[in-house]
Parts: sequence; C-alpha cells; structure tokens
Amino acid sequence: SAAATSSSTKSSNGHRANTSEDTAKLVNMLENMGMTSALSAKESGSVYHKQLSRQLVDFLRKNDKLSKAGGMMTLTDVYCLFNRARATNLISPEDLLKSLEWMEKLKLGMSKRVFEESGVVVIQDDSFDDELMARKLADLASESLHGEKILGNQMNDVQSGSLGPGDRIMPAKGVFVGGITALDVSKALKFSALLANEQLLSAERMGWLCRDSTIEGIRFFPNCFSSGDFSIFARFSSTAVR
Amino acid sequence: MTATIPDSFKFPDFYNFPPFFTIQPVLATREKQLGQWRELILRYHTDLKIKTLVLHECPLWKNPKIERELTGDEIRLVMDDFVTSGHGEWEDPQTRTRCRILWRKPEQLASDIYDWAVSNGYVNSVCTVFELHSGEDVNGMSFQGADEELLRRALGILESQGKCALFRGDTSSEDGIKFF
Repeated sequence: SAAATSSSTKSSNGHRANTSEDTAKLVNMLENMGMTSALSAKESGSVYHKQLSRQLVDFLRKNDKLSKAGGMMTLTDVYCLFNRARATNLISPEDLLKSLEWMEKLKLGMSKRVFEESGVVVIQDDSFDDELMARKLADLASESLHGEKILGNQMNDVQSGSLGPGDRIMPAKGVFVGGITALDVSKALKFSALLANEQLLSAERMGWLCRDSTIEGIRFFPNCFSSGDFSIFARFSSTAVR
Repeated sequence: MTATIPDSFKFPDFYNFPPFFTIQPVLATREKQLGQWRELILRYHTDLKIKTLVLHECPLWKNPKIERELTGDEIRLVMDDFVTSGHGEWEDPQTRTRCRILWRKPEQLASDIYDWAVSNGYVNSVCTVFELHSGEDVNGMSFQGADEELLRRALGILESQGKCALFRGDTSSEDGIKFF
C-alpha cells in the first residue's frame, strides 16, 4: 500500500518527489556501502558521529599519542592534531563534541572529562588513575625538598663542565625552600603546563599536596599537615639566611 | 614596631614549612593548619608570659628564615579562628587589634582552681583573689600569675556551679572566695 502510493506518486508526477523518506532511504543505502563520511553530518546524524568517535580513538591510539601526552589531552589539542592530519574533510568543533558522547557509550577506552574548578575539558584514557598521578606528584614534591634538580638544559647557575642534568644544586640567590611548579611537572612528566596545573590542583584536592603561594606564583609541597612530619624543616633552625 | 623574638623561644618545625604561611584552600588541610597556628600563638604567649597580642606588633606572622609571611587577610582569618576556639578575647571587638590571650579557657581554669582548693583543704574556708594568683600555695598551678580579669571569669563559673561564693574586699585583690 505505501509502495503503491509512492509508485503512484512517481507515475502521476513523472519524476521522483524529494521527500524526507527518500533521503532516509538514500542515507541508509550509502551507510550500507560504508560511505557516511561523504554525507554532511546533518543528514546522516548520529551515524556520522559514531564513526567519527572511532576514528578519533584510533587516531589517538596510533603511535601512542595519548599515552605520550600523559594519558590526557585538551580538546583544543585533539581538534588541531586531528584536523591537521585529516587535511580535507575537516571536522567542526561541534562534531568533536558530539562524537565525545559516543566514545563513552561505545566503551572505546577513552572519554571526556571536565576539571571541576577550571572547566578545562580533556579526552582522557579510561585507564588514567588520578590517585596514581597524585602519588607521583607527591613523590616529585618530596624529592624537591632535597635540592633543586637540574632539568634539561637549565644552566643558570652551572659552571660549564662541573655540573650536569640530574645533579642537584642550591640556588645562588634567596633561600631554598623546595616545592614544585606546574612547569617543573610539565618538564618531568612530559605533558603540557596547563594539564600539569590541573593535575597538581587535583592532587591538592585529594589531600596529597598543599600549596605555597607567593608573588612569584604557586609551588606545591607534600601535604605535611596531614602526615604531621615536618622533621625535614628542622634544618632551618640552625641555618643562617643567605 | 614588631617585637623581637627572644632566642630562648623554640619554634616548632612546622614554622619553617613554607605552606604554613599560605592559608590552604582545601578545607581538610586548612583545619590542621589552623590548629597549628592556634597552638603556636598560645604557646608563644604562654611561655613568654605575654597577656595581650597586638596584631601589628606580633612577630609570629613573618618568618625571615624562609622569606614567608601571612597577608593581612590571612592574619585576620587566623585570629578569628583563634578567638572562636575560645583561646582569646578581643579587647576592642570593633577594631580587633588587641587580643587578650586566655592561656587556659575559663572553664579549664575553673576546674583547676576547684581541684586545687579541694586538695589543699580550702573547702569551707576563705582565700583572697591575690592569694589565688600570687600566693605561696599556688606554685606551679595553671592559674598562677593569671590576670584578675581571667580569674574572675573562672570564679564566676564556679559560683554558677555552686562551688564557691565571692565576697567584696577593700580592694579587688582582697576579694574573698569561699569554696564549698
């Protein structure tokens, strides 16, 4: 009956009427041939985003991109990297956002995460463990109490040849107090300073770290308030200020 | 003019911990930190027998050894917490610049005084306010050397508990207390 109606419409008008029913049929046909990317997102709707979410995950897994970035990447970074690799058929920010919803639904091993206070949005590997990261940061912070490690090419106070990367120095000016900054973490763990900052704040909220705020910025220390162990700071009782 | 700290005062190790001079945003951590500030302020004033904390003269807010200090707002926060906890009282509640240190809370002093009175045979007998803070019998007691204002507070508590009665003397120091 429906077929009879549509065929009678065809025969009476002499040409095919462009109904939404026809579009849907067309889309279905193209999907079955695997050609969803040829359609605009509007027409094929969720199928496009579903497929895009898989493409994004594959892209981020390839060459361990996400792992190498520390297990998480901001949406902006993902957007730029992905589109740059695509060269044509660029995705829009809306496409990226819609496909994020699918990542979780399809259990692809990565999902969207929003950091509570700053609102920064990242794509995070499901295996990422906040507790583990917080512990790592607490260890870095503890290490910092024993002298400033020379990282990479930091050569400010180094006489040529006498010290190298990995050696510990005390700063020439001011009092050495320790603590780590977002920049220190970024260098040590190889992810962006923005994400390093988010992780430090997260570790602070979890009680692993506490902060030292001065005009020069914020440094993070192991949370000695909760451990109650301040013995390492006894050294200041007898040391003169430089 | 900030007072100088005598060398005899032994600072706790946490005084050299830089985060001690930043009021922590995470509440659980802040609780512990404020507890340490209360402890430090109380011990400093008790050991050095200083009765009043004058905000802008107090040398505790700044540690030159580690180049750290509390900001004005942070000092207020610490002091508000100190007073709320019952360890201090504003002499000037409107301007809040001078804080009377309650070495012991009046409730604590009240029970210390009564216990002493009982063990030293003062029940049903009289002693003066002067004897209470400066008498020979009170050596080593928590209320020895306490200022009269604080003593009266404590005695007032005992009175309301029916454990003593106060009598007017010629001078306030000569006011008598009868313990029951």
